[in-house]
Amino acid sequence: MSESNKKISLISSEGEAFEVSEAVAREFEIVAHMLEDGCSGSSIPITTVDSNILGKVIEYCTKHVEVGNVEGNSEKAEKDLEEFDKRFIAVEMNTLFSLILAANYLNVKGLLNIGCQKVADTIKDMKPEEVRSIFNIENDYTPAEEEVVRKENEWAFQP
Amino acid sequence: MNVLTFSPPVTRSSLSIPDDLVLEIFSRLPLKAITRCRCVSKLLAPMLRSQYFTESFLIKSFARPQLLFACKDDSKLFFFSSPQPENPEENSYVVAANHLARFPCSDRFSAPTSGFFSCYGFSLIMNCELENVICNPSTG
Repeated sequence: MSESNKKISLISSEGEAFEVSEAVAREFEIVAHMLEDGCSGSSIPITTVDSNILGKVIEYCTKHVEVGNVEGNSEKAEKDLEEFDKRFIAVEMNTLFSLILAANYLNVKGLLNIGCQKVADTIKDMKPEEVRSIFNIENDYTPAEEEVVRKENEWAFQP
Repeated sequence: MNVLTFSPPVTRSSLSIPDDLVLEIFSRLPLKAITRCRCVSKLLAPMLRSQYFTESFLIKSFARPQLLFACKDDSKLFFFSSPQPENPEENSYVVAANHLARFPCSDRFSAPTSGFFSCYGFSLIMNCELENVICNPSTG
């Protein structure tokens, strides 16, 4: 059996098993390192990621492995992958943050990259109060302090 | 000691975003948005001025070079940026420019103006006598 046909079970925080090819599992750098360190077990617990999010991360990695295996026609494949990424990341904010946290923990760099970029694109035109609400940050400025800091950075509030 | 926590409201109890991830997100913002975010919180503002953050921002900015334009109108300087054309040999130079800021044109730049330039990390050669000035490729 070739290496790419080996199956590995990834176990979510709820104990649900997701069977994936080794190539897909290796997209999780944390898993790739475990395999390189001689971890021979066929089932790997991912205790901090729930089934819903783990399923999505696996979907992302599977697509990227599939496209990476296609020979030729790379321009079209790249465009398809870009479209896939765009659709994949078009989720509500809470799911987006969960995907970013999972990608960070599992070390899936591509997903972390598009996730962080999506949040940045979402907040780039927001007012400070809207950014507070997205990240649930408490406003610790007094009204007077806030007025001063806004004045100091006035140019950034011009249309 | 106060600790800044980032936790999207829906899952306040279980989901909190580590600082390094928050800075990773903010470092992808344009400079103007980062500057507005300094008004978000007293604890966040110094994080957005830290050396770690600035370096992270510059690395990302170099990947998307922008042209910085300045033009003078009456006593004000207007700044615009636009993406640098990737294929300059293509016969299309129509690009959308984003308005960044305007400052009074005086002999010396005011404090916020200096901050504006230093944040860009590039020296800016400018002559207020000229009507139109094209400055160094910049970032942000």
